[in-house]
Amino acid sequence: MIVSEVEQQMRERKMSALQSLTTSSAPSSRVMLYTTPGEVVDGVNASEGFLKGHGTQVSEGELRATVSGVVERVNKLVSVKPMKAKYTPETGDVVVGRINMISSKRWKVDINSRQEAVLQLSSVNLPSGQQRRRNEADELNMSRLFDTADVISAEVQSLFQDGAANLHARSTKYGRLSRGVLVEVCPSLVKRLPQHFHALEVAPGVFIEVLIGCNGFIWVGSPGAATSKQATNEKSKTHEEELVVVDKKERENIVRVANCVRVLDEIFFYVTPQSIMSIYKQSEGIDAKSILTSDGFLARVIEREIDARTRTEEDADML
Amino acid sequence: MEYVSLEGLRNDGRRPNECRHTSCAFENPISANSCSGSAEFTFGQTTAVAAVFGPHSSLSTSTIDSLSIERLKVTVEITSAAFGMDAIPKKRATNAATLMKSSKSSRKNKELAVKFEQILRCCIDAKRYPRSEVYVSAATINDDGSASAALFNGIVLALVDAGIPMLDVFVAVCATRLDGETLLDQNEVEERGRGVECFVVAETKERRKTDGLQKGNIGFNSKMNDDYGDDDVKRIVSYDISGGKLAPAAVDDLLRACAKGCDEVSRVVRKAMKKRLRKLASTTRNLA
Repeated sequence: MIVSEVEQQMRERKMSALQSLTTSSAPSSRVMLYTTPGEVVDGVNASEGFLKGHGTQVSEGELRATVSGVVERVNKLVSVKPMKAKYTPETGDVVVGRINMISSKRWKVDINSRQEAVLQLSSVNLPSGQQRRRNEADELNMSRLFDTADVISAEVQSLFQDGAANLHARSTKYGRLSRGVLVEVCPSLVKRLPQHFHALEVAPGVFIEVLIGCNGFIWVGSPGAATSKQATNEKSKTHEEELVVVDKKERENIVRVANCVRVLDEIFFYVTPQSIMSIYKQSEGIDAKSILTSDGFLARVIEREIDARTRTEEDADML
Repeated sequence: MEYVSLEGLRNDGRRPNECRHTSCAFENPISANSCSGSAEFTFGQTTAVAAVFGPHSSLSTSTIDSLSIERLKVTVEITSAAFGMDAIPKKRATNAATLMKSSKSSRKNKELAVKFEQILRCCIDAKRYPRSEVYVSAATINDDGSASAALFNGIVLALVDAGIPMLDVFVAVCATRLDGETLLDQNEVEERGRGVECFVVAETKERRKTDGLQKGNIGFNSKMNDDYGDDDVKRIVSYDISGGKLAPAAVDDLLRACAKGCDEVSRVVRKAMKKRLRKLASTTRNLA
């Protein structure tokens, strides 16, 4: 691969920016403890007693980590959270998933966790809102509701014994997603927030809808793609009717927002509506496809972040 | 050919109990995007890459064996890059010869994969992942001796990167006996010397001084521990000596050198892990 001199410079600038981000001083409020597997977790006194949380083991009377990550303590409960791992479902999480398989009375859904999630036919509302008849025809029609490879939004209803999630889509909020793209990011970059459906105002009066699934699957689509199912419910639209053409301008916006999310994953920043918008604003003047490929852009994003941090640190010093 | 000179140096200038320059990196550029964890490990010029996919649900529910229901199932596949093997002499570079060579190495790789699966089964905290499996794919990019150790270390790093719980950071080293000397981390020239070869996996966690006599919590060969009362040797989880006969004293020497080598490697590995954590944590904190 031939790399031009400018590109090379930009790459170096990106690397040095990343480096200085790592070395920029840690906030005084929170001291991070890092451990690697087999290491005795720091600051845990065996004689005082402790509770073994996730990512830890007890060997020879001492608490040791089993994953490489950050130590988290809640009173006596000590757990180690890995920086990068598969999604661990929790009751109440809003997730975006892809239908892997239809089996009897249930869909198997890929939600980026270590077990396939289950969505039972009984925990789904029919699009028309009518009552479901529990007969065979109803089961045979499952693929008309969600077919394999469809992307859906749902909520974790409960967990099975082995850690697999039982989903439900019993709200008008949830259902099949259309008119958008699915972006996969690291699940630890998504924080649990009160609201996961967001409409981002990318230009005055122009909205792009983003559904940030707790499992790191993010749906970026045109307005109403994820939320306003009510409109479609009235007429009980079939899959084909939902396939509305999204015009070119809107497609461009969707792709740009999707690429902004990918940038956040690339540089490992939290994915929140604010962070997406901040990347989006910085990306103005660059065409959507080069957001990801240009090292110069990434370098600028990281440098801005360092600036913002040093400023907040200075503010903290002033106080 | 003499492998250790009169000054006590090997053909590449190392002392017998010295490893080559060891380095490792997370996110190897070959497979970083599609997998849940990946790493690269090098001993001198020997380079191995590994990628971990999963854990995900066991794919075919019908063929679940009793082990994989309650534990995480690990599948390892090992390949060698065709350009990474030692060059085939021009005379033999016909099609048939190349094929033979590759089939032989693929058999070797399969054996190695089965061995790694067995070792990893006791390294991973597998009970936490019932009904799921993880797929590990590793490749030798450049083979300059001790490739099996580089592969194993690469796999362990990739598993840690994927956030899969491990009982410890297990590391592997190779050693060989040539000219009556133990040569740690043999290079390709020394590997061709056809001495007795040894592959060792050891645990590397800090132990309290007092429990020197206590046995580890995993599949130890207890007979070995009784024979050698050495603390270093006690750390060894698995070893494999092949290619000839050795006197007991020589085996002791070999294992002790390997255990020391493992400690050295683990320092590099743990340092890399901490560095990686710091890097990832630095970007995710207090972002507006």
